[in-house]
Amino acid sequence: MLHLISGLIQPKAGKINVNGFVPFERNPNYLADVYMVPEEFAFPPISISTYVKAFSPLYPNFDHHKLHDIFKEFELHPTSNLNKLSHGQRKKFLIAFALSTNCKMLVFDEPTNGLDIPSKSQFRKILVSSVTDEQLVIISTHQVKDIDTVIDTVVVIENGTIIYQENTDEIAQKLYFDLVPSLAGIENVLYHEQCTLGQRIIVPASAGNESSIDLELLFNAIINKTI
Amino acid sequence: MRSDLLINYKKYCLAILVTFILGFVFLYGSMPRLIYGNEMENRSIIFSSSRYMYIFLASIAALGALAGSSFPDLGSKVKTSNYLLIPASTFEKFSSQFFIRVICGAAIFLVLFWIDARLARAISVMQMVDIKTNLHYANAEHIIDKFNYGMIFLYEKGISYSSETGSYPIEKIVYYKPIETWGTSLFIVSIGLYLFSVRLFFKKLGLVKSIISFVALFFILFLFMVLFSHIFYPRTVGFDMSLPTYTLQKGINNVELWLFLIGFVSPLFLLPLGYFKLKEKQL
Repeated sequence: MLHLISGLIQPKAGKINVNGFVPFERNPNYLADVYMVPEEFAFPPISISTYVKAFSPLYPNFDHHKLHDIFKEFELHPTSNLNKLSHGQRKKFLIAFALSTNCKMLVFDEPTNGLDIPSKSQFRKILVSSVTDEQLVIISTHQVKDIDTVIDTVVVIENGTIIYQENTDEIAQKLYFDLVPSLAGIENVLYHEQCTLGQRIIVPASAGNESSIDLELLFNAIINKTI
Repeated sequence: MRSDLLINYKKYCLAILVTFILGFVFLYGSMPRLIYGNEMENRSIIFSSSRYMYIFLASIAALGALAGSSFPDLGSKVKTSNYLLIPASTFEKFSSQFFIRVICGAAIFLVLFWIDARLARAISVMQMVDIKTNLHYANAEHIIDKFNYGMIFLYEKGISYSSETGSYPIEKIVYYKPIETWGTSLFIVSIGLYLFSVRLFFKKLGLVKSIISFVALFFILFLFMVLFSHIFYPRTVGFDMSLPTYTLQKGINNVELWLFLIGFVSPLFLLPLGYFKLKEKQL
């Protein structure tokens, strides 16, 4: 799906239209407003500053100050050679560059893969502070816990079909996520999973009673069609 | 193109340097520096336009390699993804590679070959020693012709006078023969464009596969020629080709015209072919 949106592959059937553009036509105006951070990436053997110098002019809304701030946060140095950085640092650079492009659509494919625990936290912080309401960020991940605090809409796709789409506020109003020692005495359990401390459960939320969303549990519940 | 130059300028500079050095070594190594004193009588020893022509044609393989290694980012899936998502039109991506690898590559190659040829000659002339006297050979400049591109692109004809004591060159006519000159030049250009465009059909080892496909294509053409020879000239034996040459107009024969047509027409479809292949490229 991410490849279809970014124009890397052509749909076998049907048509795709994003902001008035057909992605596969790869119109430069469209590509200048879409940035994809792929799971795997490769860089030429050049310094960060040369890369920025070479590619930033292609993005009309590129914000060098933002890039500089994110570099500071991620402890990246413009003089470093991209191919001499660790995988995690290179990923951080790519995330920093992506956010600085200010593209209307940012596509992240497994953005937290390769990042250590402090970096994942930095990523969440930077993502929230860098993205405006005019931007759409699509994150595809298997590490749902890494991004559960930064998303506002959950979309679950199974075999190419959207089987669940809900705003996080609405989910919090409808569902209550809890960890209980046992299921005894608990009614209306929509989904439960055993864990070392007892049972992780989803029950209908009662008025004024909200919990943080356990995305993994929610995902399993959706896949098992209990929600 | 600016991005390409910023990223690859070191690679391009290195390629220029290596081409310059190899060209020099190749030319310098081929030029005579030891003289036995009778070279002026024996014209075959003299380093003339035909020698330059052979070396030029061999060296032009470097240009073919440059053209055939175009679109280096299409060699792997990850790099292809990055390349296709660069915010530039397909035309810009295609034309920038064409400009850098074919136009600039050819121009720089021609300049480098000229410098190499002149430099190699100058050094060889300085170092030329007559074996008999063990001294610098006085007529060294006459042993190696001074290179100019007329030697490659213009046709020469030598007129010699034969006598009992030997053959003496008395006249050299250099003339411009449009069909041969342009036919040969465009045929070389066509090979370059073939390597440049067909490379887009292959994901990995583009240059090698382009060369193999070119050889295969040539072999198929050869088989067709053999087949047609057998059909139209039943006396043809085995893999022989009957390719009668006849003059169409003054100075133009059918094979030259055929070369000219291939050279002239093929860029007209090879370039659009490459462009549309890039446009339809998928991950």
